[in-house]
Amino acid sequence: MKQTTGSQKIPGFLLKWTVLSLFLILTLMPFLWLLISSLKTTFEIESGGFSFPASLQFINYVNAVSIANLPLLFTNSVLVAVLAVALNVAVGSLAAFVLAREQFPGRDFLYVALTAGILIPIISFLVPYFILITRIGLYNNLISLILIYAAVNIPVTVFLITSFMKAIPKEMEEAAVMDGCTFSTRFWRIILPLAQSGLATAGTFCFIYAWNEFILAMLFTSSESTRTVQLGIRFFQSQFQTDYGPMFAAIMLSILPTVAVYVFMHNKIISGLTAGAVKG
Amino acid sequence: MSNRKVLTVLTALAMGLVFLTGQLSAQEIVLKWPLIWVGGDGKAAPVKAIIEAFNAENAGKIKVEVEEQPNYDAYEQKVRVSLAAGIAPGDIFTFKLNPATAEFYKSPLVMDLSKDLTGAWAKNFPAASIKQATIGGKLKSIPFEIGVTPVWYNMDLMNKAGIKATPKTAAEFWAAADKLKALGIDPIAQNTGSTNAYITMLWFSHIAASRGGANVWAKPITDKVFVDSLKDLKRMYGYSNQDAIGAAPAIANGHFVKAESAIYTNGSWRLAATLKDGPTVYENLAWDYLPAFGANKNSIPMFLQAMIAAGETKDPARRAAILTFLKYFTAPDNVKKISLASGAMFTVPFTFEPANPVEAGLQKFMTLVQKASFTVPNLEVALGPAAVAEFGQRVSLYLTGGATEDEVLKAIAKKLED
Repeated sequence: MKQTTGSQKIPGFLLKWTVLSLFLILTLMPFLWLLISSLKTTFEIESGGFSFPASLQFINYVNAVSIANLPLLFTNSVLVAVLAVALNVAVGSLAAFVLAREQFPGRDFLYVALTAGILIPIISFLVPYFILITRIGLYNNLISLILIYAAVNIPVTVFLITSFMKAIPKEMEEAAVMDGCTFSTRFWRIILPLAQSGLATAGTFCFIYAWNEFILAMLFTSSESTRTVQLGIRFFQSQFQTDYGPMFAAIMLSILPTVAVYVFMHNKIISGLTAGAVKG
Repeated sequence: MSNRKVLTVLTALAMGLVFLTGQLSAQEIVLKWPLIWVGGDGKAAPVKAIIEAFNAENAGKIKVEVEEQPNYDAYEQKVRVSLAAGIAPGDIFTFKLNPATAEFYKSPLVMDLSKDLTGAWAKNFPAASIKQATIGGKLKSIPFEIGVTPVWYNMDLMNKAGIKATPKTAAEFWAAADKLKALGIDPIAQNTGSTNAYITMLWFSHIAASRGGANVWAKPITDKVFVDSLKDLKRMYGYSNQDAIGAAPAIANGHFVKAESAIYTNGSWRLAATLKDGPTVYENLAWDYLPAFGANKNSIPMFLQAMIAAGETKDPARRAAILTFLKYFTAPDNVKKISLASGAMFTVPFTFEPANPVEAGLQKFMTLVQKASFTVPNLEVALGPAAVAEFGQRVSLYLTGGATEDEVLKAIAKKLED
């Protein structure tokens, strides 16, 4: 086999780092732009997109918190996102357990039917969801958002967790059966703990979706007491004008929880995704 | 009195109280209004004050409750979804009248006001606007807010370029653009971003009106008028801000307010913001028609911006309550309060007292409307959201040389056919 010399490695090394640097810039630029813009006046933002502020407008953050009533909106969003994740992962993992570990007629069809929802745009569900929610009296109630966010993410959750559970060696479960484990004990004691990474991945996706979602929140709520962060951010906009400075400050604050979730969970997310991708 | 008798009297009293409370609360009719004039909207404060005053005057009888809806596109989606689901979006709601929203007129959930908007109340509205809001003999929305978008000139910059008056001919317009460009000023403010490429779409509407006349939008979109209008628009782009492609309307607004662009077009709702952010620019403003690019002079894009509608009800008391509020809200004194606070214009006329610069600006807008040879809706209002979205998608590519006039217009025509 022909050996690669040091001088031959340099072009490859340069290419790799150039491509990676470009991707880094592409990823960081919008975030940096948002950060800089959140410290500018609205007038400065409207005058030129890429300039630096004449003086740092920390007042934008104060206005974002007070005008949009961010503490209440954060509380609502956290409540909705956390409970939606809990419900979604609970239901999704049970479905995934059966689909991944049990043999029964129509299993593959059921799996395809459940996961095909990934391909259906959410906009096609707006009218039936609206009818459903108003008829059961959950309009302008955070429970409506919890239920819908959990339901909308079921296909992704089932897809991810099923792939992960399929990768768990059958022998472990068989040994548990030999030791007298029941169906539910196998789920709670054996499979669920081993599928933690898959649960974390699915839960993170569901959390990010629930945190960032706007259209459904707009559709199903109508008062300040049920307003989420994404709705609150829109209060800096009007039909013809936008108060960009405080709005960008509010957006900066609103993305912190999702960034924090990803930072704390990224190892589990990556292992969950790769396990599903390789062995699913 | 025995314990049993005391208990009976107390029970009767309690039941009477419950009945009385029920009767009292039943008397108050609560009207829900999903409202877009909230948050940072210039109309938010005066509208809130008017609703509060109405609720105070009608305490115990009628109460208007606002459901705040800050994002217009999402709000319109909500109205559409609600009607499709067979539920009225509110007792009162608003929408922009265009070919897509005109479909709301077919809904039995929207109240027909044709027999109500009569007599003294009807006299508050110009007959032409009521006619425009009447479709198939039904008046399912009240023409309320209007949009007027003349051409704005920064006369300070124009004077620096040696131009003393607003251009009256196309030749003068292009000559002014050349002189401004020679001074290093971006002559014309444009933006092609957002879903409707708003300022660029307004410029296109101006040119099309000048070339095609009052009924320009009745022509097929592939007509020569629109081909030539696009060519003019492309020429304008050669004199526009460098960041026009893909920019939001705010960027064009910002360039004009910061005196980086000298010529611009937008509605009266920008008056208060321009005064606040660019008081020096505001002092030197002049508004005019676009000079005749075609055969038609002194045309101005004007359109019904917000229509007020009501949810249908079979309850006569509720219907009466809705009408009482609508009459109150659209009374000239209340409309004047909203207009002066926001700079927005309305179909309901009121007496101007130009004591402040925004009022003076509004007065000039009204004068332009009154003296116009004709008014014409803009592309978005005339052809609907699908057509304007296609225009927004294609125009950036066209202006930068990536598409022909034919390609742009055929794409819009296809969207209209769909």
